[in-house]
Amino acid sequence: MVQIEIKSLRNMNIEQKRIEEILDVITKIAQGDYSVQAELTNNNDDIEAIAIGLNMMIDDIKNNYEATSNLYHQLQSKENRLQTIVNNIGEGFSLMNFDEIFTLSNSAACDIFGVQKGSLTGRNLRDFIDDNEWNIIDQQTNKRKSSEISTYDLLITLSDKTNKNLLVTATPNYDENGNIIGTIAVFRDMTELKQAELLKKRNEELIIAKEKAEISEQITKSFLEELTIAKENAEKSDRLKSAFLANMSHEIRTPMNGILGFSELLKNPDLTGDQQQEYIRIIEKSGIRMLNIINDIVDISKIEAGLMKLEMKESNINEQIEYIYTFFKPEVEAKGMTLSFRNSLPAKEAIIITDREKLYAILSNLIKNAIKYTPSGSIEFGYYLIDSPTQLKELQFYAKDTGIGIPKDRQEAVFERFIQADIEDLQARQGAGLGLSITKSYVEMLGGKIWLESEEGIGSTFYFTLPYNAEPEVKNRIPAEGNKNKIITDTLKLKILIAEDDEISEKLISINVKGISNEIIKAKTGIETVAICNSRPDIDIILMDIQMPDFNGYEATRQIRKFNKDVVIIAQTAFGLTGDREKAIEAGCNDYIAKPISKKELLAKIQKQFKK
Amino acid sequence: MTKKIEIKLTGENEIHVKDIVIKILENNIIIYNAVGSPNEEIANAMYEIDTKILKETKGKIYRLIDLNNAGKPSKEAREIFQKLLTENHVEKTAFVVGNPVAKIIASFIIAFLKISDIKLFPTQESAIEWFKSK
Repeated sequence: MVQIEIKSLRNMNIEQKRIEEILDVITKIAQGDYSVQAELTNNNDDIEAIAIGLNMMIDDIKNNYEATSNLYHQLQSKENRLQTIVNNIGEGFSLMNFDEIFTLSNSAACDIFGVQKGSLTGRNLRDFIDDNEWNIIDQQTNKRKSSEISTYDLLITLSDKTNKNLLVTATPNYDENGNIIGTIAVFRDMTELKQAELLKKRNEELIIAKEKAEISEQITKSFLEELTIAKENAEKSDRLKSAFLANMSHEIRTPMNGILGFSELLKNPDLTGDQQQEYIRIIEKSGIRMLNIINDIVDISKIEAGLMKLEMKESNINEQIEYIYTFFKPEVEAKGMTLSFRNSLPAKEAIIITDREKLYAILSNLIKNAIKYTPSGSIEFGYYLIDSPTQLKELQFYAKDTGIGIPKDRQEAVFERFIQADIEDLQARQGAGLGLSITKSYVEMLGGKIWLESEEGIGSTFYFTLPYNAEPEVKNRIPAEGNKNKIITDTLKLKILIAEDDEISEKLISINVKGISNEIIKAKTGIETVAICNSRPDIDIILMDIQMPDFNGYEATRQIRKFNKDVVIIAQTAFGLTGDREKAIEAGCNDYIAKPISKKELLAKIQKQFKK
Repeated sequence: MTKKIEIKLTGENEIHVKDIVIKILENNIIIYNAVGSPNEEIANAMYEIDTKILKETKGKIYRLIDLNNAGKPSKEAREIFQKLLTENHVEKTAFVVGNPVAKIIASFIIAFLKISDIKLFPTQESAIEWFKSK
């Protein structure tokens, strides 16, 4: 019993000792010593459990303390690194609250605001800004409160009264809960850049001003040059026109001289028959020459006025070449020269769409010039099919002579109007000097170009091109009218009304149609013509002058057509303009003839109407 | 670098990791008989074995950890056991804690783990009964 009590007492002492030890450990922990551990006895009793639990708690506290300590050091390191980065930012960097007080700033910001490093914190941005610029700060602060990011210019004044231009980029600064607590601002000193820009702008303005002055000078110079050229041209034009007028005067007076002079001579009753024929031939030739001059003047006037129209139709160029050859052959051979031609395409491929009359005029003019300027030798003309720089092929026509040639310095000028009149040397031949100018205009109207190659004393070759727009051959083509059809008028006996106010013209027509007339009736005005026609339904044909007193020929025709649709009306006019024929047909005429009237042409047109 | 602990296969279904004996019974019941104070190396070895067993065993697995003869695990060992319990999920885990020390150790191991189906039992038998129950 005593032994048991002793043993129990001993156990109590041991347990008391273990508890005291545990209390010591707890005391040390309270003093901040986490290196202690309660001693374990390998018993599985409650005291051992408390000791183990205490030791495990010490482990956890130690572990947490170490983790917290590590975290603190990491944060400290990060903050130091962040501060280093902020300080090393080239731009000024600051945090500001909504009272515009700097709460953090880097060295660059301090430099920009002209304060010592670290002393910007606590200052107010408004300290550096003129009172009347505060509204900018208010606006910007409001933007930050609305989460807005903005970049703006700001003018600050430092303590030494110097100004700086800043470019500020401001973004909202949020706390950990996402509330906006102020502004993160980046400042860039733009003062030097602004000054440089200002300087650059001034330099540019100076350069522009200088350039403008130079341009102005150039313009003035150019204007003066142009003025001089214009003056020279005006003088040249004046000189050319004077020369042209002098030449025209000469050119008109010469044939007029022939006409009037030999007409006077014809009155002599002592002339032989041969002499009379000779004088008549001279009068006729002079008339043709004058007509050519008048035609040229009319054509050039129409070209200049833009009235020259094209009548694009199918045209067989081989036939045209052959016709021109036939036409000019006698004249060339009469001068003891030869004329030849070359058609390069077979007949079925030689049909193009062009203005037949213009092409005829172009070729005729070139051949006439060749005849005029070639005293001996030969003339050849024709065409080739060539490739053009564009996709379409072209026809290249040529007229080559062995004539006097054209000096190099005048080769371009020959296409200018009146230019021949300006040639003072003996090479100038009779003519108005308009032919090649008209020819050039026609070629260009037809979509081609014209040029020449020439050598003095050797000869000239004129070239021109036309678009090759070949048309397939049309079968059963109506043969062209021409010399092949002999004019047979002997059988016609017509009642003819001549409407003509000019007595000479009326007389000429009367004589020309005498052979085919049964009766010739005359009218001098439009009203008279309509009245006669109304009372004489048996009239077969009216030769209607267009230019008459009261009604003109068109109006008279329209009136007649109201009651007589059958009578043949052929308009005759001295206007000779393109479109006259169309106007006549439109008014109701059957055909049209231009004055001066060729008997042969007039009879052919009449025969054509009654052959039907 | 942690030291590798030798793992011994002492029977068809018995593995020794130092003083700890691991047995695999019928119905996929794995019993860990912990003895002594496990350190980080022992804990890693147990984690490795547990992972392998779970990988090679089909069906529902039940884990029984008998802490009656266990001593205080090191802080690192405790963290590895917590990782084992969190990552190597089994149907049920039972801690056998027949004395106050075992209870304290188990409490510290399972503290703050958000895992259901972990329970403390005074004996292995009562734990196995729980495994068999639905």
